[in-house]
Amino acid sequence: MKKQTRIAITLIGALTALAAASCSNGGAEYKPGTAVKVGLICLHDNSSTYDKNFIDSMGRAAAALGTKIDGSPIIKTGIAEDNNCYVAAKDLVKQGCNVIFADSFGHESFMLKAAKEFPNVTFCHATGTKAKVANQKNFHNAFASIFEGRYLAGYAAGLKLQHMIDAKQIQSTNKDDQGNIKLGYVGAFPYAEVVSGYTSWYLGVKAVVSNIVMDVTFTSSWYDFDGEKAGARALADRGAALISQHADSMGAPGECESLGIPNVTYNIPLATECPNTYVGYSKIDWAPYYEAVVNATFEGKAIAGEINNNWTGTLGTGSVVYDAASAEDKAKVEQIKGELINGTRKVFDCANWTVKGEHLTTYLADVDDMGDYKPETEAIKKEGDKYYFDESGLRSAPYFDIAIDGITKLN
Amino acid sequence: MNEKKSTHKLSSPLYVTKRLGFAKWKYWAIRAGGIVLAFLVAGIVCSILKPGSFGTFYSELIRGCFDFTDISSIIDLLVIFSILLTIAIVITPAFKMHFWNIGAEGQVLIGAMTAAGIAKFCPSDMPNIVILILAMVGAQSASVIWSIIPAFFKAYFNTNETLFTLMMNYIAMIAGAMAISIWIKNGSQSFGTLNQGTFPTIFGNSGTLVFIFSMAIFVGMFFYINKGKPGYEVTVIGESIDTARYIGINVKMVTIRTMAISGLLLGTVGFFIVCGVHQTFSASIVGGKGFTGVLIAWLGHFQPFEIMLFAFLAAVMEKGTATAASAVSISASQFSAICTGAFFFIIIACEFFSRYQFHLRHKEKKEAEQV
Repeated sequence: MKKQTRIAITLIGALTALAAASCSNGGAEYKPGTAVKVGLICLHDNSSTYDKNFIDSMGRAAAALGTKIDGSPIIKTGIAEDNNCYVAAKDLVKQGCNVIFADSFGHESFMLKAAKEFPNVTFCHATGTKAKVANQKNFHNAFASIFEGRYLAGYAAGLKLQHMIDAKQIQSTNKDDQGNIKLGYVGAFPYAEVVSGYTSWYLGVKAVVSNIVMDVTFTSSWYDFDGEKAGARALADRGAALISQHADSMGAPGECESLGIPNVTYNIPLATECPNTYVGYSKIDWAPYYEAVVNATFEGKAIAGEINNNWTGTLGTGSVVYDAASAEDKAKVEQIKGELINGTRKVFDCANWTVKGEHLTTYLADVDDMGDYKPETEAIKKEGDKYYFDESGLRSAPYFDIAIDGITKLN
Repeated sequence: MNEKKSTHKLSSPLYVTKRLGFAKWKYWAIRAGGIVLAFLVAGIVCSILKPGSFGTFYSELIRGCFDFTDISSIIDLLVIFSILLTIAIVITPAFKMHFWNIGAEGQVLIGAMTAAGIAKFCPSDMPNIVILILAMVGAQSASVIWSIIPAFFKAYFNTNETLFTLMMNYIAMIAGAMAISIWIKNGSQSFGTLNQGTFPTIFGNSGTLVFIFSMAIFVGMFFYINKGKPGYEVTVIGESIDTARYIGINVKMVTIRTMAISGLLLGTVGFFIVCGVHQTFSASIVGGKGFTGVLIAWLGHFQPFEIMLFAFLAAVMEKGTATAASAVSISASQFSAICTGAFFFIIIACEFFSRYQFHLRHKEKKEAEQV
């Protein structure tokens, strides 16, 4: 035993001595005009539609950027939202990356930690909320005005609903006591990103068919095939005539196909997988953002279109993508898209929604993420005599978290 | 009935017997072969997914684990090793007592959850060291209570501890998810990082102290298991409860005490994970290491240095294959988990084949006829 003890002490001593002084070097210094080495950190892999969207966008961006990118981007998949994200970022820095992207909300704190340690490297975090207040030059947030894409997909769904009304396909079970047609929505978590998403979709449908109400059910997970499937089933049982979702698996679209309920998908078009029920989809195309960041780095300039280290992709930048299954309806949606781009139509126009019967003219939102969950910024703007909620105008990530009339949260 | 069974056995062409007098060096040679095979399988799987990546896989695996120019990365490996080692060594006394505690995952998680709650909600003008001490004591108390519950039911009602502790893992996970949805008021279910109650950074890594403290726990557990009365008592209870009673060991008391000590230290691991390694919390923050720890303790035959070896190999497998997978751009996020799974599968198979041997019946018959 004594010998074993001695071995133990020697081993521990050796391992501790091994951890001799060392410091990080701030990451590789980048010379503008040389090929940019790019890394991408993903929560899951291609099997999640959410991460697949980022990975595919990176592929398109790399193809478009050509020789400005050094080799192919290094993609790390299955990186949890904990210290593993920081370790992955460190490894990418070590492999010489000049720009590192991450795709999941919970990666943010760890990306920020890495950004502080490696000031020579640009860290870009999608969907995050801290860059505006973090005061860290090399740390950036990005999102897209996906609420406009959802609104357009919702508009396409509204047109579909109108066809169903015209064809007398709406049953009495699809209506509530006041004769409003019921819709359903499967959400992941009850926070601003999802609330903004389902409200804009609802307002899109409402722009075509005014007498609608919607039930929303949450799965408390971004990727839960069974949970999303069960959610869609529960909404169908409550009489939903049309369903959409904000979650990453095939659970809800698949269930809608088997139940024959028209469905609007997120991130991927499912015209072949769900031929009978696919109405349309919306997604964020991240390629324009990746290109903007790499080009800015390559030219040694600030990222074009960025405000307070926040970049918001729009219909104009090609970041917001939508589709409608029917070509005839798509032409109508294109017209609405034009109105959104030229600003004559606002998704969150206060005239189109109420809270407890009132049209809002003022609302404080939690735009500056100080970790206090306290709203501090006026988010409703006035243009002429029109009031509208300025979503993604003050920060890239959504902050619309208002519970409007006509939408019921089931859990 | 018995006869029937044995005739059935006779008719099967294969039968298994226990090996007797198997040389120790042979046993270790088989194990070493198994370890080499496991790493070989990982490389082969990698080159099936990405043809031509066999060589890169190993150079990247080594770079991911043993890049001596980057101490912080070495410490990342040592942290994975420390957590696996500590969990495995801490649950060992209960196993020696034949108390099959497979609830380490939940016992660590409850500690982690408590530490996270304390560190997050302590007033920000409190000194960091005070917050750390509070978080540690809180984590330890929570895990002690969590661990004593199945021990109490085992001692007084002879409840099946395997099912009991297994079930409590899931309760702990749900409790963790609930805690987050209560604490995080914006509904994102994302805890973010702790602003206070975190370990200081040494050698560019907040996990350095985790490694040092884990080594201290290892030394303590080494003496606890091998020297002194408590270690002896659990061994006797493991051999025979009646013997233990006969020589005056209070079995109930020892059962509860052993689980309390294991809870105390597993709570400490939870505290390490939250305040030292990740500085965040989620219901999956332990990441299955509680279960892997059980495997390691068993494969290490409850011997501290064997446990240390397997904890180290498992850590190398986990970190090395993850680094290699991204370097050769394998997009499957579960690649590292598959390799770790294959590693344990092969080592367990080695264990089986070195303890038992297969015989082909017809061959023996022929041999008998020849004689």
